[in-house]
Amino acid sequence: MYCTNYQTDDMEGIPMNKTKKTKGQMRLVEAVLASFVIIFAITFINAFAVTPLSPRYEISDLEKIGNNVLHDLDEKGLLGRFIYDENWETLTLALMVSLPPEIYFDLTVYDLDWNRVNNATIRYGDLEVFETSSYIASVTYIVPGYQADYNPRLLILQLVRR
Amino acid sequence: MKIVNHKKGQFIVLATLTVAIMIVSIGMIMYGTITYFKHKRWQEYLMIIDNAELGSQRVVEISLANYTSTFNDTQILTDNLNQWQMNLTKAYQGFGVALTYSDATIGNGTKSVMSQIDNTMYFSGTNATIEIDITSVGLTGYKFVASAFLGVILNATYDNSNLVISIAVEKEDSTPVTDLNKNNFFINNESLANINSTLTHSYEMDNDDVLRIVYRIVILNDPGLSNVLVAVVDNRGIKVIANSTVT
Repeated sequence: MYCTNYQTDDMEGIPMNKTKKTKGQMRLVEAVLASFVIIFAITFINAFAVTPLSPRYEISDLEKIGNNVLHDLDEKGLLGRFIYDENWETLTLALMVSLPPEIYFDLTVYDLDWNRVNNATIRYGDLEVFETSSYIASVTYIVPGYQADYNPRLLILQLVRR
Repeated sequence: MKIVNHKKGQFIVLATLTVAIMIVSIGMIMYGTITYFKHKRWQEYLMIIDNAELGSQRVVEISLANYTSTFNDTQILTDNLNQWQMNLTKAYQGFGVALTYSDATIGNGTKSVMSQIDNTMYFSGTNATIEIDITSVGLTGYKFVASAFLGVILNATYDNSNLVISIAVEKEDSTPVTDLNKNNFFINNESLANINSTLTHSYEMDNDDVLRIVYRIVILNDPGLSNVLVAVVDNRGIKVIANSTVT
């Protein structure tokens, strides 16, 4: 049931009908409330979801890639050879070949007392990228020794996507 | 404005509120689940286990290489594993990584095999059962066996004035060792690289149904020894020594 008032629009001089509905507003309020609740719930869940576009996924993905590369090189016996022969240039090339081209890396080799062992830089990409990037993944890897010598080295591999 | 006192439609309001409460409750449960997995850095723990497993494998290989350099120091395996326990915990500080080991054995000797070359295999071998716990995540009892092995089957004969040595080389799980060259062989304590010789290889399916790579060494104009001592050092630094009467 609707109440209808007839008014005259002075500007146009044409009579206009305005309908004042007194029922059904609650339905509208319910729908708006329900929409808010649904939007709130979706936003709430989405805030914690780790999607491929979120920064947390990016770091986790880079860590996985970095660890896989070090693990593969170690499994083939190349990582130990490069480190203990101090063949830093070949190690840099091996990492460049193994990692996707859009990923920059910076590897530092330490002894057990956290003294830096590599006297040359093992890096691909500008240092500025590592200093300015907000998403840097870091992987720690330990190599126990090479041939007959037990003499562990700690590897810190930092990764940034270009 | 006239306020209409509706006496109908309250059920819809109640239903909406109930649904809203349910959605918020589900949201809270999901939040709990998501944050639980967020705080557990599973990917990182898997990386640590991978690193610890391969590292332990390397430790037993290093220990065997060290032991076979002199064949004296049988304590080297336990010494290195004790060090590895501490170093691994130090490398992953804050994760509560604890490594324990048992049944650590190291040695060399001979064993019987069914082979066309000879029925005796000379070997150097080691193994240890390793167990990893990561206390920060409640992971306990991740167990595996780390082993290193190098075995050879040797046969030596004379062909005119040339000494012909056939030697099959295998490592763990009877895997053929394929990456050997003259620098890996020593005949009577002298490197094969310094001896006037040829080195070829072939694959043979042996009597025990194991595919073996057989290296054939021909030493030209050999002085005619009745016994030959052959040492093989693989690219991990593990050595095995075999001897054979020349027939």
